[in-house]
Amino acid sequence: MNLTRQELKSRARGELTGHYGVLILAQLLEIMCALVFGSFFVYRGGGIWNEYIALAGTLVVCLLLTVLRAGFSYLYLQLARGNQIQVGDLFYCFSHQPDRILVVCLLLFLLICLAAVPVTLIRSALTLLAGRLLFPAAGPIFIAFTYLLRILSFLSIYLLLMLHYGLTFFFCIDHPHWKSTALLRESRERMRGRRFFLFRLLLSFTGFLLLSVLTFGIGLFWVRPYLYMTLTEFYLENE
Amino acid sequence: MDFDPNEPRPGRFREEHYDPFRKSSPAMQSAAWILCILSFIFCWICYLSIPLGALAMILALLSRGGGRITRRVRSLVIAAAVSITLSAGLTGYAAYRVYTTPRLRLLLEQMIDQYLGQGQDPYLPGLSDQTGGDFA
Repeated sequence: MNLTRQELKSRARGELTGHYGVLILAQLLEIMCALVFGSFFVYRGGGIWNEYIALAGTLVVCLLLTVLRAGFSYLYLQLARGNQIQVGDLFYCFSHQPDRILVVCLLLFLLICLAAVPVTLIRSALTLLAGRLLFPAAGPIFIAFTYLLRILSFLSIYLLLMLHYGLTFFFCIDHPHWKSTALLRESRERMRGRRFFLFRLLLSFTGFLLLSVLTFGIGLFWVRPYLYMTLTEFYLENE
Repeated sequence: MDFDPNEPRPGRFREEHYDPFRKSSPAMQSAAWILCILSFIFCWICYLSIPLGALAMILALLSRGGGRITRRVRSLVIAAAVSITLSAGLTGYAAYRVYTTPRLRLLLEQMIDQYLGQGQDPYLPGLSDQTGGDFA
């Protein structure tokens, strides 16, 4: 690893220049797919079976959207390697072993569930303690505190997974013959010793993300490609 | 793991003459300038000016490409920051004035009442008498 954080980010910005249009279109397409397919399975009342159907449908849509999102990894990899990209590349993973991505997705879901157990226990204990000792009146500050704890627990699970398995989809695209478990294992192995570096790299985007919040999320159309392209550069440097 | 490092993979290697470090985007800079100017023009509407200013700042920072921050980009970022601060300051000052001036505060309360359906419109009770409905 020779490149510093600044160099990785600078490389990412350079490679993105002139390609924001395609990436913004791809993101719009992703949002539209999520809205259209998601709207088919909204629970509109009418018994327990309708609720089960809505839940199952939502799960299927989530899995399909994950395959679609894995297409972004392909897009960024192509861009980072100096190849031309088009919006249609977003669907690359649907025609190239989508089953592996689905299995990876399910394994990651299991890992999230496993990671959520201790985090939820700690959060509950902290909420209980805070309710007893700090905010016995259970006013709005206590409610804000519990929400803050929820956000922190979500972020900790996300970071934990990102710092271990953040490169899985890149491996998935570059190594079509590897099994799903091998992909996860390789990602974890490759991140060994690089987690703190990646953590600081992700932390350096806080300013951009706060600015995106000020734009009501519109800024994310530019910031998200920047973040993912930097992650792609990180993958290529660790390849 | 039956992975052969020499196997051909599509788009695997970078093109030789590709230098991302030198790219910058004048179009994005122009867009950032336009957004910044719009942010200044609408600085009295905070929910328009602050997003425009923030977006101008994002575009300005990304427009430098792989290069360093130029004087032009720096001035753009400063201008966007000033417009955001100006808008936030104006909104804060307006809120302070409304809450500390009794006449303005009364007007605000009347507006809130009307918004919540407890209107002060003198015609509405008369309309209720004519139609039999409760409009007031």
